[in-house]
Parts: sequence; structure tokens; C-alpha cells
Amino acid sequence: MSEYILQTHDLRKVYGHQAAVDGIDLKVERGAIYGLIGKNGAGKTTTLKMIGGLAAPTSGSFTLLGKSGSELAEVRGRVSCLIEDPGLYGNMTAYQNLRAKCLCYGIKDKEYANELLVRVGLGNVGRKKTKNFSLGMRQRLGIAMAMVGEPDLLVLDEPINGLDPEGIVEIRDMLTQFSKEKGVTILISSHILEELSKVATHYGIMSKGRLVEQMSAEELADRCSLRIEATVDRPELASTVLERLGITNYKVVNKTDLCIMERLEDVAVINREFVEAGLSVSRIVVNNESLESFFLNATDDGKEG
Amino acid sequence: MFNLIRMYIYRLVRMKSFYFILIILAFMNVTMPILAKDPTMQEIDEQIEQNREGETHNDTVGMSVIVHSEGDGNYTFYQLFVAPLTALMYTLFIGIFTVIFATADFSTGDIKNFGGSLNHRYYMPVAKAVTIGLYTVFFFLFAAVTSIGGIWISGGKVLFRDMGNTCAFLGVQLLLHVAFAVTIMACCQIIRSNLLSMILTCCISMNVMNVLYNLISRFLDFIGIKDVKVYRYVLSGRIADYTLEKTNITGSTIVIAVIFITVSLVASGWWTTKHDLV
Repeated sequence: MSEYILQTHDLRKVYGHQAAVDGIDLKVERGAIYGLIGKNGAGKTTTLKMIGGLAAPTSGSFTLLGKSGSELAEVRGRVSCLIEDPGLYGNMTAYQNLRAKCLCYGIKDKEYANELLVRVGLGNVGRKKTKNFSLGMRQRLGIAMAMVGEPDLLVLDEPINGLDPEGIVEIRDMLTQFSKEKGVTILISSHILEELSKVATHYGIMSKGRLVEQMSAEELADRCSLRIEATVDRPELASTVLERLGITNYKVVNKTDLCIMERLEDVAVINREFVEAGLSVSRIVVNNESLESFFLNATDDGKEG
Repeated sequence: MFNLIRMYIYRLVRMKSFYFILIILAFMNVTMPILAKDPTMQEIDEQIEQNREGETHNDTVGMSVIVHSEGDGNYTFYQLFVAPLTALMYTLFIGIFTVIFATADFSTGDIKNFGGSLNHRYYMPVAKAVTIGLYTVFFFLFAAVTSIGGIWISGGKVLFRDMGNTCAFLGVQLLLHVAFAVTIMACCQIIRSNLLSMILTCCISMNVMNVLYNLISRFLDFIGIKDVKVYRYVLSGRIADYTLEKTNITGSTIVIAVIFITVSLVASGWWTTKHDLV
């Protein structure tokens, strides 16, 4: 059995002349909680729609549960998704909406829907029609509907939108537990990076329809770990100084800023060498990179995967 | 696919429009015999008949339901049905509900919850067609019960004469209405606009499309294809035309209904398979 439950191969989706998804090669390991990050319009939702079977790729392919091409029909039932806002019938109750989906999956046990409602925190909504639900309640119900049939791959597009902090914690814990207990692989997109970082085991960063980076949570932690941040007037000269000191693990961020990821204990030495080389050092500090900063740098205009 | 049909039936019986349309139908069927006895209504009916006597032909755009009786408030079972059927009144009701039902999963976004998980997408229009077919059967049964009930309430009698032929007539009309509902469902599946689908339904049921059919017939006549009346080959034309007096066209009527069902299912199945769901 492949270690990857999902692999995409140069997946593209073009609307008119606009490539919403422009050749991505995604790899999602079995049992992972894969966080897909990107700005608005990066192509996350379109990617998830293709994986969820709601839209067909313009070109490229993907392998899902070991199947691809025409064989994908065999495994479609093992993928469930919540894309954008949940589609609910306003005149039906939460139970009825859920029960309808249960029937579609051949689940006859009437208590199954009630158990799912309790699991997502909607056990006490009674006969309230979903048209009277708050946004958070609708999102919870949408997640419950995505869980029907205990799919092998759960595709969630911004599932914690509209939830209060308590709700976010509950959903986060529920997804983690669901993944651990049932071995479900979760592909989740979100803008709330801090929350995503608490559940995701892997990340994919999208920008302008392309997959800029893929990494595990450990790799992300390393990348956001402590480093020396320096602001100088001539980074090209600073690069020369660093090379002379034998430092190779550094990055020129922009016209004035550098990040040095090794020899953090030698910050004073580095500072002295910069000054002796004639550089004007306006700032040098040992710091770590926030997720937001990492994400913004990764999705900068000049960056492509 | 069977699971999909069960889901659609579950949803169907929980739709408000399902009950609203039946309530309106029941109200009309119950009040019609009572109003028929009202002297004012009788005067109006006589005036309408007099106005029609001088006409050489009738091109009806709109709807006119005239129920003939045996007198004294008595109706044959056939008379209860033939007028609302051939006037396309039941067609209109069934069409309206079909549009609401068939577009609901797209308009609410429910299609996202299960559409991607289907092994074969063409199951969706087929399952909808089965569901709407079952609804049409139920509609006919409900119409029969409420019609008979309306006569009974008004103090009249329903005469069950020539039931063999009447049931055969109703069977063919039922098939035509199922074909109509499936065709409308297919249009909804392809167009994905409940507004356009509703307009189309109303135009067909209110005979507005007859204008188009006549134009096509005249064009065919103009290019040398003579004596082709398009109206005779469409469902609304057959529904309006098929009565006990015209059982000689039963075979061709059934064929037309089957053709419409088949083409609708193939077209909507193909479209659903080839196009994005959202």
C-alpha cells in the first residue's frame, strides 16, 4: 500500500483564460492532517473541489487511494468533503439534513445521525430548522455531514470559519481525535494559521495557483525556528562577509534584511565583522519567524514552486 | 443508485412545496363541483359556450378547464380527469413541483455534500427521474381521491363506467406526464436555473410554446416538408390530444413518451458527467 493516500500530477484547472490551479504536485500521506495554506484566490478551493470530485481537472491527474483515471469511480465513496459554506436545506432540521446524507450512503441506523450531531456539539438543537442556525452551527453541521460514512479522506475547506474560540478548540480536538481513532486522512485549508499549526502534520503553501512549498510540521518548525535577523545597508557585502566566516545557511530576504540560521551564539562576532567590513548595521537580533511572516515570505510575488 | 433514490424521496416528502401543491389541487378538486352548481358560475359558463359557438377554430394560449358532466352533479370517472389533463392543468402543477425539486440540490448547495462521492454521476439524474416519476403517480392518485371526494361533498355521484378503457387512458396520460416531468428535470439539470426552467414549464403548460411549434411547422411546410405538425410530436400536444375518442394514437403516443424519457435521461446523464457540479 502506498504511503500516500493522494498524489496529484501536474494538476491544472483553467477557467476561460485564467489558470486557477496551475500544475500542482501534491502528496498527502495516509493518516496525515494536511494543511493547505494560501491567500484568497490562490487556488485552494479549486484544488479541493477537484480532489473532492466536484470539478474535473483541465489537465493532469491524481491518484487517490491507489486508483487513478477511470478507476477513481471505485473509491469516490471513500472521500467526503465540505467545500465553502455547507449546503443545507433551510426547511429541514439538522437531523433531517444529516439523515438524508446517511440514506445516500446506505446508513440505515437512525441513531447514527444523532451520534454525529452530539460529536459536533449540536446534540441539543432539537427541531430547529437550519435556516435559523448561526454560521457556527451551520459549519458544525457541515463537518458532521462530511463525517458521514467515516471516509478515508476528509476534504475540508476552511471548516472553522465563523466559529467562536471555544468552537474552534472543539472542532480542532474532534478532527485530531477522528484522525487518530479512525485513521482518517484530513486535507484542510484555512487562513487561521495559528489554529492550523495546532492540528496539521503537513503543510502545502499555494500561491497564484501553484504549490510553492510542501513540508512536514517538523520542517516548518525548523524553518520558523530561532535565527539571527539583521538589517544592513548592503546585503550583497554582508553575504560576502558571511561566506568568509564559513556561514552558508542564510537568506537575503529583501534589499536590507538577512536571516542567518546557524551559529546563533556568534551574533556579536557577526555584528563586529559587518561593522569592520564597512556595513551600516541598523538592527541585529536573535529571533524566530512567526507563521504569518513565513507564510507571507513564501507567497511573495517572486516565489514560485 | 437505490440509496440515492431513497435520499431523494426522503427529501421530497419534507419539502413545503410538496404539500402546498397538493393542498391547492385538493382545494380546486373539492370546490369545483360545488361552484359548478352555483347559478352565477353556470351563467358564466353558458356565456363562454355562446362566445365559442361562432368561432371556426380555437388556438388556445393559456388554460381553459371545462369539465363536462352527466347532469345533476354526476360525473363519470373519465370526465373528472379528461378536462384537467387535456387542459394541461395537472401538467402545470407537476412541472412546477419538478422544477422546485430538481433544482433544490444545486440552489442550496447540497450537491456539494454528496455529488463528488458518487461512483457514477449519471446516477443523479436517473435517481431524480425515478423519484419524480413516483411523485407523478402519487399526484394522479391524490387527484383521483380528491376529485371523487369533491363530488361526494357536493352531493353528486361518480359513475365508474367503461373503467377498462378509462384506466388505459389514465395509464397513457400518466406515462405522458412522467415523460414531461423527466424532461423538465433534465432541463433543470442542464440549465441549472430555476427561473428559466420555471418559465419553460409554464410556457409549455400554458400552450405558449404552441406559437413556436406552429412557426416550425410553417417553416417545414415552406421548405417542402408538408403536413408535419410539430405539436403532434411533442408531449404537451399529446397530453392535450389524447382522449378516449383517440385511442388509435395510443401506440405512437407511448413511443413519443418513451423517446422523450430516453433522450432526457441520456442528455442529462451525459451533461452531469461531463460538467463540473460546482
